[in-house]
Amino acid sequence: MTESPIDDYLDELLRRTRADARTTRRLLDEASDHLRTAAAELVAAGNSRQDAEREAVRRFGPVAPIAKATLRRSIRALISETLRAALFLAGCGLVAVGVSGIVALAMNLILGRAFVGGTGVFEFSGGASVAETADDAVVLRVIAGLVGACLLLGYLAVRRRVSSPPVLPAGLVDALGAAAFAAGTAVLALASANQAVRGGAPGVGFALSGALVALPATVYFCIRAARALLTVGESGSADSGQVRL
Amino acid sequence: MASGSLKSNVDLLLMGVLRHGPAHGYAIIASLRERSDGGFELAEGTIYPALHRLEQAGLVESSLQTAQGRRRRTYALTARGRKEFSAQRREWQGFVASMEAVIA
Repeated sequence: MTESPIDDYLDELLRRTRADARTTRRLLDEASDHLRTAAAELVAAGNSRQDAEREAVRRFGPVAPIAKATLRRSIRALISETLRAALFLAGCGLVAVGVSGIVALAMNLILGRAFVGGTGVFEFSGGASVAETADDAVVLRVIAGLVGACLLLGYLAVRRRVSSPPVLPAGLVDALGAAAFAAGTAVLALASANQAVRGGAPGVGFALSGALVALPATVYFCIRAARALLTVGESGSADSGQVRL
Repeated sequence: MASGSLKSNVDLLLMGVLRHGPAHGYAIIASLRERSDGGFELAEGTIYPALHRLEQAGLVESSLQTAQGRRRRTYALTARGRKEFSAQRREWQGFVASMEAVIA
């Protein structure tokens, strides 16, 4: 405990406030200014410094309701930012699926439809199903990519209207994106290898086209995450390195 | 005034003070005390989360100003805040008139 009731109060407010850094800092600045102004007036009116600070703190009120009010606001901001992050990641994921459809199309044209379509899933119905699988790998994925592009456009429109400071830790969303794409790369690469071991070249392209897109996406999200985290480390501020969601 | 009734109307009171011009938190509390003739015993710290909430809703805006070497955040009512204040005041006056008609 210090000699100053105001400092004790501000310490307690800092300990109990569960808001983002900017809200907490702003609340503490305003509380400090308010309390010290009130105490100065009380000292000028003839009170001792200790009594003046104690009275200023009493008038300011207990910490709990103030901390609770900031928490409610912060949870709303957290939910809103999490939903925006989900929209962003879902959009990126679906666009990656769309790009893999274009890679599959290139494989169909260069290496023949069997490289993508010969997965062996439709062996019972002969060559027509190979072509069908190869075409579906293109068409359905491109449709998913278009849906993803719409989600990203929606995300950009929502983000433009957001003025509140970031709540989620810097680099978290990018790290989640990197982890998801890395997992996708690993699964698809293993599926490609498995297909190659089981049946040679036919069908390898089905999963390989996805892995070839998931890998650069992983690298891209790793770079974004590293940049956000390193910027935070250099400046000491979570806001500066963070992509606004 | 009972603190429960006061709490539920704190937004209207804050907008009521700010319609007379921009003010920082301490001046808002002083104005509330003066205008209510000491009738409002509000925990002073509770106005800050309320002001932040009003700002988030676009009803007030804030800016940092330096006076006598001190940086202070000053709040002002926005155009939207003025409209909202008028609407809430009408509603409040209607409520008071109805209460009066019943209990008088």
